[in-house]
This record gives sequence, C-alpha cells and structure tokens, in this order.
Amino acid sequence: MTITITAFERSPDRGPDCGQGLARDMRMRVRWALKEVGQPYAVRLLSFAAMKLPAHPGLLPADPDAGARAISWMFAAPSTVEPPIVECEIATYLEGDKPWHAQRLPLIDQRIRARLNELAARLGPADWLDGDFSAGDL
Amino acid sequence: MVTMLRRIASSGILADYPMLAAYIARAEARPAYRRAFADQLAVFVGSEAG
Repeated sequence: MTITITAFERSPDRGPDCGQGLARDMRMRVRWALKEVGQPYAVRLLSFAAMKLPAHPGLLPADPDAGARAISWMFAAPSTVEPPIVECEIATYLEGDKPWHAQRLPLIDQRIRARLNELAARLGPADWLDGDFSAGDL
Repeated sequence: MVTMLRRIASSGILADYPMLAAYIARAEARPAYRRAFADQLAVFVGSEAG
C-alpha cells in the first residue's frame, strides 16, 4: 500500500521562512522519515478552503455554532476528560510496586471524578452532549 | 467522548455516575458502534488465531 501524506496546497510557510519546511502540517517530518527509509509516497495537497468543508457532514451539525461546539467536544474529550484516566492507567501499569502507589491513586481518582462531575452536570438527562449524536460523542 | 469514558468502565467508578454509564450504553447500542466493534474484534481474533 502506497503511503499518502497530506500537505498544504499553499504553505503558510512564507516570508523570511519561505520554503524552509517550517510549516506545521508535519509534511516535512513525515517526508523526511520516508526518505530516510527509502519509502516512496504519494502526496495529497489540501487547500484551506477544502479543510473548512465538513468532512463528515453526518456527524457535525449543519448549524455553524452547533458544528463548532461539536468540534470543541472532540477536543475537550481527549484533552480534559481523558488525561486523568490515562494517568490512572499509567500509575496502575508502571507504579503499582511503588510504596507511594496507594497514596497516589486517590489523588488521580479525585481528578477523574472532577471531570466526570462536570461531564455529568453537562449531560444531565440528555441522550447526547449537544442535541443529536455528533462527532463529539464518539 | 464515549471512547474515553469506556477506558474506565472496568474500574467501577462509573457506578457513581449512572447517567454517564447510561450514556456509554446508549452509544454502544448504536448499530454503527456495534459494526465498528465487530470489525476490530475480527482483526484481533484473526491475529490471535494466526
């Protein structure tokens, strides 16, 4: 299977840095890695306009505000709710033999519950986070 | 959100959050979720067999 990388059609990497491979679409790092191992690749160029099109219209509300909220939930889940959950897993897998493990777990548990309390308050009796099922619920 | 919450499903903590447990159950009951779960399970079972 040929690897396809996605890169900006018109890189924001302009001005004094023009063409220096500093655009943060990660293409340079991925290209570099593939060149290091001699792996051929295809490139899919993406315009900013195309990036603003709804990629999965069925999972993002058509209303722009609701769509923005759904996208916010997509980021809120892994950046606020998930970190203490992962922390708990790491503590269990890697620190279970430490003498302070038993003291540490309740602290992590508190942080998980802080997020769950907020989430439960937000969800309330609703079926989904914000109206119909959306990408944020996944 | 549901995929994050599922990670603590086995910890028992969700017993204190019945609404969140119901939220997860609602998501897991969606046909698309069940089909996706079956697809990944098939890969897992296949890799175990091989």
